[in-house]
This record gives sequence, structure tokens and C-alpha cells, in this order.
Amino acid sequence: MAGNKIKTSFSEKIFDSTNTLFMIIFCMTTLYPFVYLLSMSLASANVPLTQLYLIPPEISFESYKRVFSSNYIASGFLVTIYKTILGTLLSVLFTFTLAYPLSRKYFPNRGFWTALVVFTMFFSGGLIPNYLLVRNLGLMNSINALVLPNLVNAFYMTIVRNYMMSLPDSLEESAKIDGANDIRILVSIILPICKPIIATIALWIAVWHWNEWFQCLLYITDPSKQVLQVIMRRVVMEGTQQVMDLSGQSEVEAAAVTTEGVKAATIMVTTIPILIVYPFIQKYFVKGIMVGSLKG
Amino acid sequence: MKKVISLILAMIMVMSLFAGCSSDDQSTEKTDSTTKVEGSEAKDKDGDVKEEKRYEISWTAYQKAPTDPDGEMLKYFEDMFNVDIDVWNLEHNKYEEMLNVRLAAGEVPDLFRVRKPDQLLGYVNQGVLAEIPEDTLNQYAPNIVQVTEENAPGFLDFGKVDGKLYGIASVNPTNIFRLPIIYRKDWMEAVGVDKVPETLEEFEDLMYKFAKEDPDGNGINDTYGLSQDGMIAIFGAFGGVPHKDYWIEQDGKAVYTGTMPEMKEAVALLNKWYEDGVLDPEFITGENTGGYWAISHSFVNGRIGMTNKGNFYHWTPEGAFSMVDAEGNEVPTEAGAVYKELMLVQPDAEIVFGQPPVGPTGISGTRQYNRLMNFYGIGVYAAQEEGKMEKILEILDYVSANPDIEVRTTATKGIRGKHWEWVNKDKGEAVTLDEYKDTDYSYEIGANLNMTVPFKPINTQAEWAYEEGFHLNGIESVIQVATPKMNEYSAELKKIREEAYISMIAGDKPLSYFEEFVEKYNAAGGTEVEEEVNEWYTANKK
Repeated sequence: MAGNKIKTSFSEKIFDSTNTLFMIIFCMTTLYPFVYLLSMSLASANVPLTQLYLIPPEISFESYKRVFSSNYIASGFLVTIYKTILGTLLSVLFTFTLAYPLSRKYFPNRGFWTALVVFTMFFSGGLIPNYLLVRNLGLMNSINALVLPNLVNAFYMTIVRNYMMSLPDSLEESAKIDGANDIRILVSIILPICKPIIATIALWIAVWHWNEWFQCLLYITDPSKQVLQVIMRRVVMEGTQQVMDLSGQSEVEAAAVTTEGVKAATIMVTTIPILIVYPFIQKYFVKGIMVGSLKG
Repeated sequence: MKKVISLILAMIMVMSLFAGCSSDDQSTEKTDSTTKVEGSEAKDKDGDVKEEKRYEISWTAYQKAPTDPDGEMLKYFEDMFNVDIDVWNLEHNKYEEMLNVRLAAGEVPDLFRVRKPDQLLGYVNQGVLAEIPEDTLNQYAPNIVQVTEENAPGFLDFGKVDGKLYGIASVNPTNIFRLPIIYRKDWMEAVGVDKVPETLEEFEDLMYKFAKEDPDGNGINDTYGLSQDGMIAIFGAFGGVPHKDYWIEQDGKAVYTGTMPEMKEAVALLNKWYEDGVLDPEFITGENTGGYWAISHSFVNGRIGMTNKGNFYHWTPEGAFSMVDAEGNEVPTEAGAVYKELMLVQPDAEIVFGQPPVGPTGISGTRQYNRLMNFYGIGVYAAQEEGKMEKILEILDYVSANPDIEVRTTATKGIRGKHWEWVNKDKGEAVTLDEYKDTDYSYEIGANLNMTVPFKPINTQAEWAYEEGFHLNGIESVIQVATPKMNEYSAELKKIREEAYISMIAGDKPLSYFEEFVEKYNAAGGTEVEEEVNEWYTANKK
């Protein structure tokens, strides 16, 4: 940040203004689809879908009423929120507790165990073995099927581990001299320092959980247990060329009941909650890595 | 030493993990279906009065929304037939993917819906479909057989592989209507044409006027005659539908329309129009730019004056005929989806329907969608259980093709008086009651166990379609199901075909390229496909 006292030269000014201009344009391009959908979701049925408006000429909340009156939106919301919170908490806990031992130099065969975890990043059983596993564990149609198979992501685990490895050993040593055991060290010393990295992966995991729908299609067949994204996807894809090509059901598809406005409203309703989470976690990203630990 | 021991231990742990997985897989593969059978047989052994066995039937249906396992209509039919129906809620737009995972995991649905006709062969070769003996079909699903034979003769044969029936053909009743030909009536008036084109010359004349004479009166040269979908009718005037796998009969043989020499003339004409700025230069990307599939944005936004997109009911003008509403009043019909959009964008626009223009040799036509939609087969495990196949066919016949229209409507709409009410029983017209209007309720309650059968459309909308002549001059493919070679080569052939047509129409390649394209096409598998198709055609032709 340039203070008032420091004079900026002409070339710097040009650079800054170009930079700002570019950033504004960049923000506009990312915002545009969002604004477009928002205005579409607020447009009344008398507004043609093929025209573009920033603010629709006729505003109505009809689309939102329709979305909230549909059968499974409420249950979908609850399931999604539950799954996101539970999944994020458990994932963070397991990732953190797995990363810690793997980051300690004195842990026996550390390289082997790490390699074992990293191996899963590149090789997996694939769709069908996973399905068989979940089915035979009796997890079909339960929330556990969406949480347990994704408990630890090897990539996130590696990131946390590397972060922990960069911490100075003297931190742990000093606590040991004061008589703390391993658990105490983990909770009182390591955990506070790791807040930024934990916040980061927690956000990633939460967003992933919020948006994940494919596993739900695979493991959950009971409509009242389906996540919001599956319900949204069904609404949004209805009547599109893609579905038409797939089904050949022109006869039945003709009776499309979902207007574009309702589709847009559905997207809004499913996206806004996770967007709201961002600002609250924002501060952890910009925090310095070693704030409040070793000084000097 | 310590290190070595812990390494060995680690290895053992990992090995046991893998071993656990693999042994699991094999043991549970087939237990599901067998335990049920044993359980029900045990009941028979008790020596009680031999009650009818209560079958458990897994069911795959067309579902826009998942079915509630306790759905009202599901219960209704379960009680009626004394069965337990387990509807597999496979996501409609990921159907094959979801089904294939389960098949790979050893789960086969008892009523097996094959969504695309082309896939029947693959599933038969996988051994997941059971053969349906024709006597069984005739005995337990007589109505389906009768309706299909009556209104779509020969279509049931499409479900045969090597002479054995594996799939019951589901035939679409309204695809007897071809795609509509739509002109902008107000544009025609603006350029001084009052007759809807009948011949290709008249059509061409009108298209040039649309492109050159500023029909929208805005003083800018921004209009074109036609675009991608309008081209279908032009190819039709030369007797083919080249951009799809359409086959027509010539001299008792099935001929693929995309390589017919007549198509060269059509391409020549289209190329001329392209050069003259009559054919929209954006024809390659299509008329629809997203959203609902049937909307021709080019037409709705006043870029072109003629289109061939969508289905006839998308273009129904408001009040084209009258309907009876829930209160029994005569009301003008609502506008079709695309017409509605046109009215919102251009309230002053008027449209007029026409017949496909007649080509130089006196033929005319435009595409008619394949009437064969899907197949309904019986899963291989169901056939192993005594009497189960018969039961499934019986249920399917009852909900799909029962002669009583009240029964059929109940099977697709729910309980009369609760979910729907007749407005005109003679024409089979029912209205959904307000509480359920505009929802997917029928799928949720399980009123979707049926398959579509080709009852002759008799409702008011169909009457209007007959009046407008949508049933005339349609080109229907004589081959609506893929042969093995077709499946093998189709992707490659499609690429060659599209590339050739587009580059010739857009003038990137000279017209003389057509012969080269045909050679290339035939060499890439076209000849083999043709031979195989004709083998099938002569064997199965009625």
C-alpha cells in the first residue's frame, strides 16, 4: 500500500490505473453471469427469455415462490447443510490428525506411510468398485455414504503436512521441556498456528461438499434424502437440448413445466448460501503464517 | 530391526485391506436375488394353501423426478397385483451411467428400460436381458401387441436380435406428425407475397425477398431467409434427411439418404443461397442458443423468416382451437412454448404454416422424428423366477395399453377426482387439478410405471394438427434401430458427413467434392453398414 508521503511517478500511475481498469473488467466478466441469472430469476413471465436486461422491466417474485413451494427443496437444503457441516468437521479433523504424525521427522517409516496416502491421489478403484464398497458396507441411502468415502483427501492432507513441516522444531521442543505430552502439543501449540491452513482446506472441503452431486445420484435413491444440487440440476437441465438428445422423449418432454425464470431462481437459491460463507473465512487467508508464535 | 518389523506389519495391514475388499465383492454379488427366492419358496414348503407368491419387482421407468417409495399410485398397483415394486430412481439425465454402474455391480432391474434403441444390442450381448418368448408376450401383454401392430406395424420386430425378441418397442403416438414448416406471415405481406410457397421455386423466391427486401422495415440489411433447421425441408425436397441416420426404401432396398446423389443438388442450391446471403451464415451453430431446446432464437429474434424447428405443438398460436377447462368452460387454447416466446419478443409477428416445398422431381418432405423411442425388456434374473416375467408383462400391459381410457389415465395421472378430472372423455382429455398443476407430482406418486404405446391421437390438439396437415409429407426412416456395424462406425461416419456438408455449403470445398465424400464415407464403413442394414431389412421387412 502506497502511503500519502511516498510520491508516485508518472509511469507508476499509468501502471496502477491500467491495473485497476483491467481488474474492474475482470470482475465484471465474472459478475456478469451472476447478475444475468439474478435478473432472469426476478423477471416476470411476461418478459421474453431471449432478451438481455440488467434490471428486468417487470419484477416479480413468482419464480422464487415456485422454487420454495416445490416438494424437496426444503429437505434438500437440510440434507445439504447437514452433510456440509458434518463432512467438513470430520474431514478437517481426520486430515489434521493424519497430517501431524506424517509431518514429524521421528515418526517411523514416515516416507512409506506418506507414499501410501499419496498413492491414492493417482490411483483409485474407480466408480464401480466404489459403488460395491459403499453398497456392501450397507451405506446406501444414508448420509454416511456421502461423508465417509471422502473423509481424507490426499492432496489436502499433503498441503497440511507440508505446512506443518515448515514449522520450527523448537516449538515442539520447548513444549516438551515444559512437560506437555503429544496430544497437548497438538492442541495447544500446533493447532493455533495451523488456523490459516485449516481454514483454507475447510473452505475447500465445504464448497466441495456443497456442490457435490454425483455421489448422491449414485448412493441415494430416496428422494427425501437427496441433496439440493441434485434437485437443482434436475430443474435446470429440464427441456434443454442436451437432455432432448439423450432421451428421444420429445413427446413427454414437450410438457416442460419449468420456465427459465424458475431455473434461474433455483440456481440463485442453491448458490447464495455458500457464497455467504466466503467473507467470514476471508480473514484467515490473509493472516500471516507465523503470527503469535516465535519472535526474533 | 524395529524399522523392518514395522514395515512388514504395515505390508500385512495393507494386504489384508485389499484382500478384504476383493473377497467381499464376490460373495455378495448374487446373494441379493437368490435369498429372496429362497425366502418365498420356504413359504410354499409350509404346506399352506398355495397362495399366490408375492413377487418383488425392480422397475425402471421414464422419470422426470424420483418416485417416492411409499407413493400413492405405487401402493395402489402393488395391492392390485399383489407385488412389491421397487422403482429404481435413476436420474433421468444420467440414466445410462447410473444403470451401467448397477449392472456392473451385478444388479439387473426386472423391468428393464432401454432408453435408446441403439443400446438394445449392447445389453443383449452383455447378457443382462432375457428373451421374451413371443407366445408369452401375446398371452400376457395382448393389448400392447395389438395397439402396436395396429398403429405401427412391424415396429415390434425392431426389438429382435437374431430372430429372438428381447425388447418391446415403445412407439411414440404423436411422431406421426412431421416437423412444422413456419413462415413469417407479416414479412410475406411486407415483401408482397400472399401465397404460401408450394414449390421450391416459390420458396426460393420468397427466401430471396426475405433476405434482400428488408421485410422488417428497419432499413438495415439484417435479415436472412432460413438457417440450419430450415435446411431440413430443402434436403427433403430432394428426398433425404442427410444429417441424421435416415434410410428410405428404394426398389425394395434400404438406402442411406446422406450419400444419395440427389443430395448434391440440394447442397448446390444451399451453397448458392449461402453465397447470396440468403442462408444465415451462422447456420453452422444452429438456431437455438440454449435454454428450452425447441426455441429457434434466430426466428424469434427476427433474424430469419422461415424455420422448421421444434414440434407442431410448440407453434400452436393462442386460440388456434378451443379446449375445455376444469370448470367445463370452452376456453381458447394456450399458446405453444415457442409461439409464446415469439409473441413476447415481437408482439406484432404473425406466422403461417406451410407444406414442405416440392422439389424439381416432384417430391417433397421434411423430417419426421423416429417413432421408435425405447425398448422395454425383462431383466435376466426375472426370467429365472417362475411366473415373474408373466407378472411383469401383465402389469405393464395393464398400465400402458388397457383398452379402458380411464384405467390408462389413472396409471399416468393418479386418482380421478383427487389429481385430475375428465373434461372430455371421448377424446381422452383430462385436466390436472389446480393443486398439482405445473408439478412433477405424477412421477413422485408413482404414476409412471407405464410405457408409451402408439394409440392414435384423438384429442383436440391432434385434430388441429390433422387440419393443418402436419401428418402429410413426413419422411420417416425405415431403419430406427442400430445394427452392430452402425454402432461401431457411427461416430466416425457422422464426423465425415458433417464436415463434408458444412464445407460444401459454406463454399470451403467445391461441389465436386461430393463424390469424394461419398467414397470416403463408404470406405470408412458406410458400405459395410449398408450391407448389414439391408440384410436386416430384407429379413425383417413385412
